[in-house]
Amino acid sequence: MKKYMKRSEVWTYGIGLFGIALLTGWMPDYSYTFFNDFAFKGTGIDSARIMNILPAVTGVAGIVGAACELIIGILVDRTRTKWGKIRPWIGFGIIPLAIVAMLVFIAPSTNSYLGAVIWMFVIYSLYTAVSCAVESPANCFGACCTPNPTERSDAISIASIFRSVGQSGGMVVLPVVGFIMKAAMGEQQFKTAEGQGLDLMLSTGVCVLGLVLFGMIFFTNNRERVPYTSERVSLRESLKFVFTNKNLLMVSLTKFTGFGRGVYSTVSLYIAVYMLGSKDLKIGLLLPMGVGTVVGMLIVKKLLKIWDTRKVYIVCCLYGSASLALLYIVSRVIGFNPDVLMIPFLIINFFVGLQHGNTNLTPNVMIADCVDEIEWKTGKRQEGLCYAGYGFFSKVAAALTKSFGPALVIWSGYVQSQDMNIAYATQSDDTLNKLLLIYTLIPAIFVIGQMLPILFYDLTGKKKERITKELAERRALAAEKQEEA
Amino acid sequence: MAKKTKKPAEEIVEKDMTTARFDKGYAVVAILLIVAFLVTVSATYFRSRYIMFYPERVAEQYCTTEVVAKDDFNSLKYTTLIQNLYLGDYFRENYIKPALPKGDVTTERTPEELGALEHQMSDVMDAYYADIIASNTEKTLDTVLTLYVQKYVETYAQVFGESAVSAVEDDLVTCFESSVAAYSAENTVDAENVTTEVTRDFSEQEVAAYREGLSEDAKAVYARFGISPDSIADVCEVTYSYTADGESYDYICTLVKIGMQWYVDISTL
Repeated sequence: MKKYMKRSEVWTYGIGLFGIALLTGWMPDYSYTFFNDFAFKGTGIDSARIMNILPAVTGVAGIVGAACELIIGILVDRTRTKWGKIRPWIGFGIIPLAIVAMLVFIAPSTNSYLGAVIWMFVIYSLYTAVSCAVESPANCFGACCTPNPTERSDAISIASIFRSVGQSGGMVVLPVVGFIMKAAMGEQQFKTAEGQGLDLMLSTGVCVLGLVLFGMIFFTNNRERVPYTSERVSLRESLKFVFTNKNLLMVSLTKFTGFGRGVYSTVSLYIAVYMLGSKDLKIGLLLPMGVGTVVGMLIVKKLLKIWDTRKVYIVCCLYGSASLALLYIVSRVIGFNPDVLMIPFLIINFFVGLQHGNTNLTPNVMIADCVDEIEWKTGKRQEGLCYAGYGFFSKVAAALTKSFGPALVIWSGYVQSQDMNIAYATQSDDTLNKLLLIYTLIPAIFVIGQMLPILFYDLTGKKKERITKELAERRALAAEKQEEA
Repeated sequence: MAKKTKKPAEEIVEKDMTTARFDKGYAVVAILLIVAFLVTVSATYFRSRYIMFYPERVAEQYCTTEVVAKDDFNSLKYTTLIQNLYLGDYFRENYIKPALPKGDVTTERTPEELGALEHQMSDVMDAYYADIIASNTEKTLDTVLTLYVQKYVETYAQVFGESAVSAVEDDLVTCFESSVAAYSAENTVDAENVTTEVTRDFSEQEVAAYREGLSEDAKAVYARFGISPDSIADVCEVTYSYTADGESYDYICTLVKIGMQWYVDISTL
């Protein structure tokens, strides 16, 4: 089948997603720290009251984000411009996103608690809304970069790898900015600046710059190559697409049925302390898993050339579940002795990370196929809404995970240290076992859970080929008619 | 054998390529605008927040730590000592490392055993720190740090039943910080009506006279911390006023500007 994209476009799509993920990956954790620890330091505002209000701030922003996913999706699908329907959201949305993201880290000089709270609610909700307006269209760009499904799948695979790397980019930016500040100001002076959160503010500036530079590279080089339908779709019809198209619904449901697979991160610090022997080894857990994710994405990219998306997804889920079960069994057999357990634990942990390549990549390819199916069935192309629907389910599932993790820690019987000289108290064997369960077998069950909806996904093989072929014929016919007209 | 050449992918040039010229121009303008925005906002915010750019804020932090919280050690973070040095490193390199022989093995203990022993250490060392602060009327940094480290090494041998080696360097620092914090918690003054004001801004001639008029002792202190008197760009005095137990107090700090940052002049303390 004919290729449509320039070679450079595949890479600049990835670079664009990298830039966007660099900022959107940085913001949630570090904005929380900034609000909690630095924004109103020295102003006389009670820091405990700020900490208590923060869950409400992030909660409201989460609701705003979920609502914006759908709203932006509908708006994207109604967009008709000479730049296309998705590109203008990214190209022109990057500027307000850059400004608002930076302003999150510019705290007002106020000693009023009410003023501080209003500012946090407004600025963080605004950031969430504006980031949706850029991130959501950027994620669905893959569906319209080429009408060739194989080429599209390649482009989405590469871009997803870039996005995945970009999400962790902030972890590199912060120490680099710190290093430069130390060299420029002096080490103790840097500590003083760090104590005021100024390194976070400058690091945000670097991430914002990355967003704009990489985003503009994407904007100038990439084109939408799938013609969009001209008729407008009503709000009711739009929502119907998300909730009634079987295949799209199944892909989105994976987020619900698999929401608990992310609870491992809640206990990763405790795993580092009790299974590996030091809290500093948390990076030893997360880094191999991160590397495993990138390697996993490369493997999944290859698998998608051999198998259909459904098979790849199911096989990878089975693999993921089995690797987590293996990690549990090996840890139990060896026992909770950090000296002996550390090396096998970290090695298996790397192989556990491979499964995330699938969950980061395959659903995006599947949604692009669903967009084709909806167009084939209804004559209307709805990239924005399809990805927004998936994004909506993702955000709701993320909220569930955030509540589920702490609840499981309570279930484990974890005992906090009451001694000023001991950071982490000794835990009973039962608690250690339950912590290990939260890191391994409980996510393994949810990995199987996320696989279940895909058993009903049928956009594969001959059906997919038929849709691709008929859509190509329809588009060619439409183009001929347009030329005649 | 003929060289295999890769067939270039066919490209489609669509209508939307007509925006290419605009896109490039827009991208350049957007990048320049955002760079200008970032530089302006970051510099303004950094300048307004970073305390070391303002003598009255440096003096306020110094006095809050030293005069009010009685934390002699951490107040040094606002003095010329740190112009070229990291306070923690200064303590480790000059006082701790020379006192601890090399060794990376200590007896393995459970967290509870370790916690109990560290408690005993803290009890002895906190009391000792309070003693040396009370008896060290000159309050020289050298005396406090040297005596503290010596006592720690002795006490460690008694409490742990083994010699302190370099592996416990971090524990010593933690214990010292704990002693400083404990002393501070016991002795913090209940200061009210706090005001900080620049009460004397030196003229250029006065700054030059200040540089030249430094005593030999002061010059020695400067040399020890790697500071050249010539690097002093400005000098001012800040008065920190507060009331405690119904009485008013004024504490005058002399601050020097080196580069763009202000420090309490350690040679005047």
